[in-house]
Amino acid sequence: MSTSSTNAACRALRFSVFIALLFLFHNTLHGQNETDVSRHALGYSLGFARIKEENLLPKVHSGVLHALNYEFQVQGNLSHSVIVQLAYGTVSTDITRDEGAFNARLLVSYSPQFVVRRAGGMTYCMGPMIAYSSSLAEYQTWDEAHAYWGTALSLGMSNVMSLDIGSARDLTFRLDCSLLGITSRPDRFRLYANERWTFSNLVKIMNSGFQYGFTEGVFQLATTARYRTPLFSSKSLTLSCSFSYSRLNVDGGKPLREIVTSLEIGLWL
Amino acid sequence: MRTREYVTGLAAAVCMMFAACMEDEPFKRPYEGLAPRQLADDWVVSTPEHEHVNRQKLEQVFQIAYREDRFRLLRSVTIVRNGKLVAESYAQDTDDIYRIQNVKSVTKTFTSILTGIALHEKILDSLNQPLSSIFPEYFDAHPDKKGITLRHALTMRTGLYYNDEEHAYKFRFSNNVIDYILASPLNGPPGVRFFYSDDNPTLVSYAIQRKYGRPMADFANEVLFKPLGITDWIWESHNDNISFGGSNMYLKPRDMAKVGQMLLQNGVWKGRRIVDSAWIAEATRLQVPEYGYGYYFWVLEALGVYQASGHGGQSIIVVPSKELVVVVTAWPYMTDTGWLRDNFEGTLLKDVIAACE
Repeated sequence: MSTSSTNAACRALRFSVFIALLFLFHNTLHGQNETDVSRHALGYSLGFARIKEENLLPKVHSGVLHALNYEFQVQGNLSHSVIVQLAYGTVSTDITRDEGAFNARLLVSYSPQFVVRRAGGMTYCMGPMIAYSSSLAEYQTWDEAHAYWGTALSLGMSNVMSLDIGSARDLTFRLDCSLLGITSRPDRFRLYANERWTFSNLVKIMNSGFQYGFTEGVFQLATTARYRTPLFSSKSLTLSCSFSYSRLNVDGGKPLREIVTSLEIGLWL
Repeated sequence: MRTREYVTGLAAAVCMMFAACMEDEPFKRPYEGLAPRQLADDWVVSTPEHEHVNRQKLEQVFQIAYREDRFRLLRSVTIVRNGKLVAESYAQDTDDIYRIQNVKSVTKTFTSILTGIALHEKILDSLNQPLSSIFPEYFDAHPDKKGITLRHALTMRTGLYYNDEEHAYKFRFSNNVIDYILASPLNGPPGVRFFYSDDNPTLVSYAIQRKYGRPMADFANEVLFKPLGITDWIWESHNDNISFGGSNMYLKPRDMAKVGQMLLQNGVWKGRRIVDSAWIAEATRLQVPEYGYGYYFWVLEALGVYQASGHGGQSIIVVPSKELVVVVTAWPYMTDTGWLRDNFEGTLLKDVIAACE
């Protein structure tokens, strides 16, 4: 795909995402019933990450990630879910010396979900999803000078199945999958010696050079199993187990693959 | 319950599937021989046998470099004998033959070569010329450094303090790099103490720029790259458009070999004089014996070798007695400097030299 057509595709995707967001938030604000319930949730998760930055080296870095999660839900016939996650950790290979590498990541996703099936204590919802994810790493042992990142603005599907297991407790299984979007990755062979490690420059480079792609450019999958039990008043305690896989790539580069498995403890407010 | 079990089982299967597709892979490709490729460039391809190099010994060197972990980030080895390519291999990606890469401190040697050309062409007056006579305005605020000469800079004996870890980043992005360099404290009087740094060659770069009227990279293009037929190169500059003197030039391995061969031929390439032979002799002679250093050349007297050497394992090695040039490149940004000097130069180079009959 030529650069100009890629840019045009990116602009078209951004525009369509913007229109979709306007439409969906309009519905959120004006289309809800009085019986709809909105909730906020905060959580902390401890995860184990495996990262393979093939632009740098063919080895897997692994390590512990700490994450703070926020979720906002509106539940009704048309439900809405907004998830924000900030994570940080250090990863290393078995041959890494020094302190390894740091990895920081941000995920923001929004999904409106329609009830597809409701039977007994089971509710199955699905709907489109838009997600912005960005992962930044500095592999100090292997590259003392450059930043490595994978940023994606993607579209996909979200599926949620809830099982009422009695006594106001429930189990929820969620499967999110992104299949197309725009991706920003560093050049495989960078013809500059040093990154400028300022916040503004990092934000700029991590959101530049987007390329449009289907599954070969963006493939992200996340599953979560969550147990919720009442705590006090209207508050609930949640325990979750999550798994996510991400593969991002652009033309002329090699992919960034990431797998994160995590356990979360959360509080529904 | 059946649904729950089904979902849990499916999730576990998905987890295992994706975990399985992310395994460690080897750093290097399998070794596939050392025969150079025939390209439409200036190189004549030959064989070890024709150039009296013991193929078996040479193969052993390549196999060790491919096999052993200490050479894990090796990218290329190129061997030239009698002016002909006899062996070449690209350990990570065969397309690296077409790619330029950062040669790190090999750049310093290029700064030395360009200094020699600038002296020969009377752009610079002499090595004893104080830098303060070339760009005096910078020394008004640093009068204690007025005694620094070109020779001091070329032998890393300006006395200016330099610490790569705390210095390199600010140095890279300084908007007034000469003032930044000269603001460093002195470790002692100029001309006494060897202190390897990127600062010193950048002072030389600016001296050439001031006298030539354009950045040193432009000078290099005119007097070195064009005559050698080197068209694909990058030489990075500081924010104030002063070419780095000590690092961050990008070249292809075969073009690095051209420079090595030109040095081996005492400054002549295809019948044309590029560098004064007297300068090559002086620059590759021990100027700082205690550190084995010439004018931005490392001199390995015991092996009869001089070389340009850069962080991560970049080298242009010249062995005049054997009519031999060896170029090695590796991933240039690794923190671990274990590669440098102690590995290829310290061990396998001896075997390559021994293979030359």
